[in-house]
Amino acid sequence: MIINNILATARRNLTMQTRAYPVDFFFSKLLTCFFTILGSFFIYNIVFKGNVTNEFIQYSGTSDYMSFTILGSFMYLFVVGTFLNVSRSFITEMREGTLDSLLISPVNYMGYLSGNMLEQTMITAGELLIAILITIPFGLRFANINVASTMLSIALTLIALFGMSIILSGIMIYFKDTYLSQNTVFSIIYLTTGILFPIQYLPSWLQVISNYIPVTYSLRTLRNSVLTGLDITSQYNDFKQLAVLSIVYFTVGMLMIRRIVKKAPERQFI
Amino acid sequence: MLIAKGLKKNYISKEKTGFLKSRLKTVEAIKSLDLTIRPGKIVGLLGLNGAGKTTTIKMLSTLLEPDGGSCSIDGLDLTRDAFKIKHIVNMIAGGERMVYWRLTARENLEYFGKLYNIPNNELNKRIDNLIEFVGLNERANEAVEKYSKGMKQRLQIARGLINDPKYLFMDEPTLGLDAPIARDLRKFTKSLANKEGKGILLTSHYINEIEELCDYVYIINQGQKVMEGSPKEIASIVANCTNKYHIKINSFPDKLKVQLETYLSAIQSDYQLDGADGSFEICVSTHKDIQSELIAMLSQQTKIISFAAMEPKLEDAIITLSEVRAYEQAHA
Ligand SMILES: Nc1ncnc2c1ncn2[C@@H]1O[C@H](COP(=O)(O)OP(=O)(O)OP(=O)(O)O)[C@@H](O)[C@H]1O
Ligand SMILES: [Mg+2]
Repeated sequence: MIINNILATARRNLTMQTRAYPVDFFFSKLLTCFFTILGSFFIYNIVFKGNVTNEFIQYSGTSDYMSFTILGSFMYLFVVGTFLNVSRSFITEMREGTLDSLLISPVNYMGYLSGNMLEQTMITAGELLIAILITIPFGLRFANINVASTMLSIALTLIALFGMSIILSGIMIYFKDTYLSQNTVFSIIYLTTGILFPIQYLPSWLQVISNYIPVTYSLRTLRNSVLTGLDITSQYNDFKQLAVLSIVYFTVGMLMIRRIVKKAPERQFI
Repeated sequence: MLIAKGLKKNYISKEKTGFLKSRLKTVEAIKSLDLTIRPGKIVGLLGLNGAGKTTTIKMLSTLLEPDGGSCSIDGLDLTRDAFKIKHIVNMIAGGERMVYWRLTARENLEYFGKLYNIPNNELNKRIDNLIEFVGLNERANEAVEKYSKGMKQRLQIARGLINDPKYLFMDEPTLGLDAPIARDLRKFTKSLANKEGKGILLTSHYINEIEELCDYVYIINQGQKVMEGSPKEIASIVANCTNKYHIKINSFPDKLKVQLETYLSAIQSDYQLDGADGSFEICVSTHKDIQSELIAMLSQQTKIISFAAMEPKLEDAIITLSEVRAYEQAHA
């Protein structure tokens, strides 16, 4: 049953990640959060000198740049966490010599990947909680939050990130590469989806790419829901785009991963 | 029953032809293989390095999809019903891989057990038994990375049995094991077949292991079957092609020399004469068992100081057969 696969895999990952250096693990996560926020703080104070332009307000719908970039950084934390963990799951098995035992068993691919995703989401959610606590003094404001649309945004985002990382995991196994593919994806997302600034600042050809990456809509809906407090209906178009892209990425991911992983044992030397 | 007919497997691999340049190359790892494994029987698969043993085992355990031929396991089709087949087969390979080094032995077995959807009660009982069997009781809750090579290998054996498979494929399972543990494993393998009726396919580089355990043996070379039969049958065929006798005699009169040459050439055989420090040593290679005839002939005309018949070995069989095959191919 799929649920067995999900829970067993999530539990296995948690055990493996925390076994060797549980204290290091905790502090490395804490540091990640801290540096993420420190980064936003410096950009705001040094690059923008604590002021934002009218252009920024017009593009982003808020004058609160600090909260704008903190939310962007939170999103990036999720992107990186999911991609590092879910995308690398199969290729790590391959490199460590456990892929064969996994594939001999009647493992459910969807369950296995979901288990990785579940564990990753729990870890990142924990990081996020700490990060939120640290960021409140830096000026993250929740006063206007619309809870329903925030939840919807997060839920769709998780599906989208899951789908994208499944595709990336297929690419990694196919090309037997982690470093190049992972960092290309990170850079594209960091640059084009509006993590640190509204995408309208980008040249228009780059904005075309933005429109096909779900993270762009995730960020927009998240910020609109948390900072401006827009409800679901007034963000209908963004949510629709996000939902469609999530489903597309997820379906493509699931369709390709099965084929690629099944062929992996014999493509060892290609 | 497992019945494979005309199994075929090609690998595509990359060949470097220059910096940044490479070309794809097809390797015919298994050309056409027929194989039968009956429940309760141990079948041996022998061959030199690169013969295709591991490839065969990986196909049967659903890791590699065959490129041709067919295989049915208890009426299920290897390709079409792969998911169902996974529940009734498993594979144990030699070496330290195939288990998670950062988990304990118990956690490893729990994880794999869950993938097979074994109910908790049943799983816990099975894990206790397996850990006991492979002798990891005292270290079961320690991370695998701290284990010795042999202990990792033993855990692998437990992993291969976690789903209580009806057919078990063992690829050099005793590689790197201490002699007593290897012996225990052989005993256990035998009882898996005899008592629990599992069908077992075994490859090994230890010919003795194959001779001791297997009911039936396939010898393959370069992806093709060279010979099959019970170990005894194969050994007797080999005996015919590589009998060697080392004989030390007191003197070697011309009359005897002529008689021996005539006799040997009549049966297409040959001898060599080594005569260091005044003694005579003859070495006869023949396809036939002529021990008694030789002794009779020699003892009539001279005194035999020593007589040694080189025992024919399954190992020689494989080497000889492979050489013959390679020669035939080169001259085809
Ligand atoms: N993934 C692969 N890609 C390309 N060629 C391969 C691959 N795996 C095996 N081969 C080739 O296929 C042939 C059969 O290999 P296989 O591993 O089945 O041999 P084997 O009988 O198990 O040998 P050994 O006794 O060394 O374990 C060899 O020529 C080998 O080089
Ligand atoms: Mg092998």
